[in-house]
Amino acid sequence: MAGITVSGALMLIGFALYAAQPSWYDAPIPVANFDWLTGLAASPLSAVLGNPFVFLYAGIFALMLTPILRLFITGWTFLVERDWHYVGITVIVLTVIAISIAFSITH
Amino acid sequence: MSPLLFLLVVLSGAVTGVLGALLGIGGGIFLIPVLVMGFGLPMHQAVAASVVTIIATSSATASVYVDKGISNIRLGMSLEVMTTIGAVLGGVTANYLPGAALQKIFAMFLLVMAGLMWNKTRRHAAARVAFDASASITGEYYDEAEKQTVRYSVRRLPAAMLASIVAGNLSGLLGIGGGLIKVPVMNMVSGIPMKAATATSNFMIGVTAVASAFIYFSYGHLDPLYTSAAVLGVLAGSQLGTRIGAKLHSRTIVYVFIVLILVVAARMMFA
Repeated sequence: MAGITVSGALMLIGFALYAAQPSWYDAPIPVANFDWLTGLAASPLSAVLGNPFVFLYAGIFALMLTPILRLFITGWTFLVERDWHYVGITVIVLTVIAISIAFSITH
Repeated sequence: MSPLLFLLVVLSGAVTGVLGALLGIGGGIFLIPVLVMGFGLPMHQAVAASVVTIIATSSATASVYVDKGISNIRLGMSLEVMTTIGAVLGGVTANYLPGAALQKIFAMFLLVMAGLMWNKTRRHAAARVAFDASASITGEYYDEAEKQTVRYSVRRLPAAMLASIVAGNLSGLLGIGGGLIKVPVMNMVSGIPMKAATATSNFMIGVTAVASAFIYFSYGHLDPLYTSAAVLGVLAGSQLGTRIGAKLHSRTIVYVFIVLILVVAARMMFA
């Protein structure tokens, strides 16, 4: 539940910032790629914290990390129980997800 | 995005969340047609938004079912190996298909699912089988409605795994949770009680969705405004759905849902 609480809170902050700054209404929606992140890193902190899309994307990422975290906890539980068969299965599932993340980064 | 549009997308997400919690599905079969036909979102962006909302539905409901011991984690992980592979392949494939083709595939999928749901509802009581302690995966949970502990064993696991790769592929391709395939297969093929099948599916759909979510993200299909608004609605709706679910007649909900998806499928097919 912690993951969806953090995610929901970040999204609400993002929408509050978006509603408070009508200049964003007609602005093009940024794609959160490497260039956008590099541009943010070079921006002043006040600009980053005032950008609604930073919070919206952060909320989406927090949500996307929730099932991965759940898998790690599941794997850890199997490890404690010394159930090596299911430790292996969990590792395979995490590897497939890692491949999809690697694909998305290199694409 | 205007405040009115925001509220409408949140409302759509809320309805998706209620349906997801009531029927044990991700809700993409409702949300995607609404985003495409109601709000004019391109098909790929609607699918990407749906994939993220599935993670929300799964995360909101799975923790409850896992805590209550209804989700069968070992079964879920066994099936998830095949499902995630299918989801990644589906996510990559979808980006090479034109939106119109994706829309037609989705409409055909809806028609098949309407048939499966109709069949599942009519044969609801047929799935309970004798408990086999020597089975590779067994499970038990306390059924609050029946006021007794239900024990079950998983049979025909390879067949369920094969169905899981199809479910994962459709999930990645069409932005659905795959619960509409996994739940009937677990129930009818593997002999798992409906409650455990639904709860295990809820645990799985978030993991399946995250495998393809990164792929959609990398192709730039993720619209943060529509996606976040829908997620907020889903989070509220799924909470509401779990509370009202017990008070509603599930068979009535399924019949209404079948009519709804038939109408949506016809519109998407001939749009």
